[in-house]
Amino acid sequence: MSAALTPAARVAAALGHREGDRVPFFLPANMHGARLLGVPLTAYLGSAELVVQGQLRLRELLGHDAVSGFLCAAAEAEPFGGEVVVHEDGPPNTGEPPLRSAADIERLRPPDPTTSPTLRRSLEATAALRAAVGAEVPVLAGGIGPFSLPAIQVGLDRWFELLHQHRPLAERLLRVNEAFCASWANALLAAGASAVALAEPLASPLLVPADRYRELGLPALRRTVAAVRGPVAVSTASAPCLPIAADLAGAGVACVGVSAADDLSQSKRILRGRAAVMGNLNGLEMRHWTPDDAEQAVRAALAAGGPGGGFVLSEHHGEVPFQVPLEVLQAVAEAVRRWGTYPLRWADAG
Amino acid sequence: MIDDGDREDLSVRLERALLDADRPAAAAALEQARARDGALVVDRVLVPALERIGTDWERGLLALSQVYMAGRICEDLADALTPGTGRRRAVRAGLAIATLEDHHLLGKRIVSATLRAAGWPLQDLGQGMTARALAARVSEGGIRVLLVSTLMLRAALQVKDLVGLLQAAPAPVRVLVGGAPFRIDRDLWREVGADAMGATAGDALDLVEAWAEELG
Repeated sequence: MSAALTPAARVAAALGHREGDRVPFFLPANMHGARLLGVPLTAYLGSAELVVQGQLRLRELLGHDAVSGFLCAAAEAEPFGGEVVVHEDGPPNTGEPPLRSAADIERLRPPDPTTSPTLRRSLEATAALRAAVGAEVPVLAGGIGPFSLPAIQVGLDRWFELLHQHRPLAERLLRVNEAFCASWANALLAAGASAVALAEPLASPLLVPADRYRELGLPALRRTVAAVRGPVAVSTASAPCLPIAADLAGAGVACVGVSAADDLSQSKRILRGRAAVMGNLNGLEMRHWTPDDAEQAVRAALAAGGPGGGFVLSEHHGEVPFQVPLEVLQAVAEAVRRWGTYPLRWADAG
Repeated sequence: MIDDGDREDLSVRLERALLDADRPAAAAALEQARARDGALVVDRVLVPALERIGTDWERGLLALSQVYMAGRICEDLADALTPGTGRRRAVRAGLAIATLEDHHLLGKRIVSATLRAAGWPLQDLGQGMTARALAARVSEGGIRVLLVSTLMLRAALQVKDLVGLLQAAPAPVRVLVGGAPFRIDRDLWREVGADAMGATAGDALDLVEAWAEELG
């Protein structure tokens, strides 16, 4: 067994396509801190201080290899004039799309992310987490990719119409989004984030034809990544990724998050030496897992993704549903500790 | 009259045009079918094209944006068909659709477009609704078949409350659910007490036809 690495060194080994002491893992349980602290979810997500306490408690409980100041995806509607609708039993959602006409898009300029109270809170939490964990633990940050942000800016239906029938407007919106995404990612990195994970579900061929994504979305991602002053991961947020995975790696990202629908071994083969793979536990199914289910799922993922490094075990959507019991998260963590230590001889043998 | 082979060719032409989001080409294919065999244009040309598109999406061969565009174009084109050429069904079972909790309308629009293009009169009860508000609208409107679209897990779980509230409706209401949470967790529809789950708009169409037959 190798000497124990710090979480930062463990993750760095994985991103460098090397086997560290064990497979790194991170469960993006952005809401479970509320449960650990015994506070209502809306109060929790409304306070950077509580999020920091919750994330630190969660890391104590699970021993996973990162913390995150991410609050909710809906927050990114705010700088564009949208609304964040909060709930006590699930993540905040967006209200009506704020951009309602072609003229709204034509006059749009990249807004300052810090005009959003929720994004400011996320920056505050990121900075406080960095101060709390020092250099030993990665602080992850999250945002929405430029090609998927329109889902909350104009609505998915209108975005599809723009993509298929009003390309100049779609390109205009993408240019604004690239600038916004890069400035938001750079603000998070400046606050202390180690890396920024962009959720880009609309890159999935399940949602937009791969050729259309390659024409419009991929160049936008490439330009965004080039403008971000730190490592970027990208994920299709539980939508299938495999047919586009090599393209995402080619955009310069350090890590690609794949879904439970993607074959992990194949993802590793496609991305070997180009980008690490992150994934791919099914968060929705976790709601009903027994400890044994958790162990089997972790073993399968480790066997497929772990050998040779280049793999971070995680949930595939980027947000573990609030309904997943903490005991399941603990069972996942326990299974990683039990089966994830390098070298994975049991996986090689099996 | 045209034979089955001609109808199939026109339906395939229509399908290709829809996948390219080429509205004029789709309109031309549909108009050619209508001119030659008006009474069957919806059932034999338009609906099969939409169903093949939905099936190919389910098989991972197409993207949701293509399904959406095809539905939208067909909805517009079907509206333009004269009443004698489409199926304007008389259903005693009131048919309605809504989204619970959120404002993500895509699923609702795809299913609405498909059902309307196929000639089903569908009431749109709105979006961003609470389970209680939706149950009240359903009861007031005499709805017997309710289609519920969701994007977020939280909204999907609200269907359980909705189904409970609908127990008090004047007549039994069948609930058909759809959307990402139900596709990712294939048992979720049972968990929330829905009567069925539609993975595609074509599934929804088949179920509505079967249920309407049963309900009269």
